[in-house]
Amino acid sequence: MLWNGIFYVTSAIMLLSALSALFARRAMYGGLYVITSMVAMALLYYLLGGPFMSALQVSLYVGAVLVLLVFMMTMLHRPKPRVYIPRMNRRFWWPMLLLLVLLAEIATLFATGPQTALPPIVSIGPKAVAEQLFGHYLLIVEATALLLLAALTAVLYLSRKVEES
Amino acid sequence: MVYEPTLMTGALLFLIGLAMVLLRRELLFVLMGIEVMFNGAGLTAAAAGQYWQDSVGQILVLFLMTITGAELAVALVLVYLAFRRLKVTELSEIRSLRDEPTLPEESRP
Repeated sequence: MLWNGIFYVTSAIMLLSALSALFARRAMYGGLYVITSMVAMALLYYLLGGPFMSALQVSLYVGAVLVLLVFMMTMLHRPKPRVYIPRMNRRFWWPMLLLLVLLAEIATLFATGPQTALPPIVSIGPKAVAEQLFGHYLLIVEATALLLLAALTAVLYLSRKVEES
Repeated sequence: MVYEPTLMTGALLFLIGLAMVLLRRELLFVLMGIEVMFNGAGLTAAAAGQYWQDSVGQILVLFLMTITGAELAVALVLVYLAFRRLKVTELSEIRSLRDEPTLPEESRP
């Protein structure tokens, strides 16, 4: 089935590019891999029946968040960027052990769980989302707006302190 | 469509993000790892919304994106402040608040 093929290929692209970001040497390459992963994620959202989320993923994550990260990479310029060498010491092996345990848990969970077949994918358009968003969840939308305002104020305050010092 | 591959992809993406947070030393990579973790959680929410064929999953992803944006803006300014004031870009170099194991002679009681 075509849907399954596109889904698996996109999932593989997303996971592989995220894995490449884990092992990227320079921050800019890591950012590019994360962007690739997020664009693949937008396609996955579309395949899961959320065209509105897919558009928001591209415009918010790729358009805003990653541009912010790339902008910060240009400002955090070190004359000699340190090349990432994974050292096989205690600081590397203990988190690695925890991650491997978590990976084993995920594998066990999905290997033993029942395979639930879903009904066919239904596209849930922007209208249904907006009706819920500005009807039932209006208070949370207001709270999120307040949170964004607080973040904006905090960023302005912190950056002003930088200018003064 | 089968339900498990979507959830498994989300879990693996979360795991890769967690590995980026735990194994990398650079502050920017840690922030990118947090973004990847948020993406994994969002994929799980989207799959759950499609499972119940409801728009609540998309609304959860929407709030997740907004809160990620707010968090990242503040975190990036803090990274920038750490670079401007302390000239560091790596986690292991930020140790201003660490208890030094050996005190200088004159400060000992």
